[in-house]
Amino acid sequence: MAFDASAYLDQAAGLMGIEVDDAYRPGVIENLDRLAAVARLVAEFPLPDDVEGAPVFTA
Amino acid sequence: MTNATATAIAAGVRRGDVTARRVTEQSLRRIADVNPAINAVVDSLAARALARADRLDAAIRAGQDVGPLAGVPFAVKNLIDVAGVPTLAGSLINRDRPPAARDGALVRRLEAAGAILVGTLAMGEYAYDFSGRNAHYGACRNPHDPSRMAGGSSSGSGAAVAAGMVPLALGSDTNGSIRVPSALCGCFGLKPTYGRLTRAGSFMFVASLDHLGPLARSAADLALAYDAMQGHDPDDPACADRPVAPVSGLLARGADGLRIAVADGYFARGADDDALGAVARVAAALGATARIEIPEAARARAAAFVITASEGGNLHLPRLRARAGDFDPETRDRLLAGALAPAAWYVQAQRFRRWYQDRVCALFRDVDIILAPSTPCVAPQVDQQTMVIDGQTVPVRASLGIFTQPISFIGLPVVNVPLKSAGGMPVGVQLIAAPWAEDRALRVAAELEARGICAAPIAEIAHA
Repeated sequence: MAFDASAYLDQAAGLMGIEVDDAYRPGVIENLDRLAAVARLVAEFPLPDDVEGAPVFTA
Repeated sequence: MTNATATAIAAGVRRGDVTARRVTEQSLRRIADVNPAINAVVDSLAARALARADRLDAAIRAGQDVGPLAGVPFAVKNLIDVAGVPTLAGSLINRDRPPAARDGALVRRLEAAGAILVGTLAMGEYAYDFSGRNAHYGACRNPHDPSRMAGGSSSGSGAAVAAGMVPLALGSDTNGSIRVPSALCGCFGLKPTYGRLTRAGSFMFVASLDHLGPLARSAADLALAYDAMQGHDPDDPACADRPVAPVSGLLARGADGLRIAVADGYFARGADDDALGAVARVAAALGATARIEIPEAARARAAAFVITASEGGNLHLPRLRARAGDFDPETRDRLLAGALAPAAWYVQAQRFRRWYQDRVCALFRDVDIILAPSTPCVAPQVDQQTMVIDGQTVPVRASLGIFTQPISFIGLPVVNVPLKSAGGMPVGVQLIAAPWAEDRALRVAAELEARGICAAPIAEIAHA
């Protein structure tokens, strides 16, 4: 299913208690689309179950 | 002394050849002369700096050892607290915060070593920037060509050092914000290992990825400042409890015995001839013929992007709810999008970080230093929105960090070394080392500097 950034913005902003001014909507939608595309690269990468994100990261 | 290195200034002040007051006055004068054209300094702290210089001179006359950075003027990105000054972090909104009660930890450590804080420095709003543009306070300009950007987000740090206002500045680096302005302005810059230097007393951005570090005009100056700033600090939960590991005494070893390779694949594409040529020149000088592939670097950049948007969006959520209109538009829309990102993206990005760290750290069994471009090109024009790299039109702001982001993502220490491009503008190369091996990157930087491959000359700036 295609990601509908405009519909997502309405729902998620309501959930998070953010009122997004109409003037900002196009910019936020553009950034949500970009973020979704970038996140897809990460999400599609198969990780073994035992790979943990460290609660405290140590280099 | 405005063109002297921190090392030379400290030696002169300690010997009594020059007073700290004289050096401080010269730094303040240079700021007054050239800052109107560059817009690197936010607050010039003349009264504080001169009072401190006088105390230091009195201590020297009394025969006291005032420290290895005696009389060295420095300035800090204005996300680091300075007592009595609001920590703006490049924003309008933070003007409503009370002035900082005390100096940030690294300011205290540098001053304990004899350095003198002379100013706070410009930055992109809340450090979410690679350009040095700022809708509230105007763009910080590149001292080597003020029609071009300084790079960000530590724009004022790179520009103030390159302009000769101060020999030493502090910046922060989440995705490249020390290395990008160092490269575009032509400075040496050190992003230490994640957790090496305390961030206490700073208005940070992305706790998982934030680092502080120095910018200067020589590798020895980076080392001198870095040595003075090391050490555990319980006030920063990410600061590692490791012994101080001084590097200044190691620089003379140069690249001797170090295995050096050039990053291939992702790091050999998407850059122009200036950037790749600089890497080739450094590799040739070091006799580095091996090439090495950093696996999944594009995905690492993507994961850093997701973590940055999510943590940044969360940090600023109260301000996005109450005062969205007061953000820089270039920052606001990205933070709003980040504040709405689903948790699954963020958690997966953090888990990928662990996987990637394991793979990249394994490379350091066979190599000590990896060379990569710092930016894909020299500094673009201040207002430039897109550029053509490798035949593709790409957005300037996001693309400037494509080579830095996959490295800071797992906290590796990096030194940016400055070279001159064919057209005369600075260009940078990253010297990337294994975690906690800052000494190796700094040794290679010192050798490249000693052999004249890299240099950070002060820009000549026309001023009224």
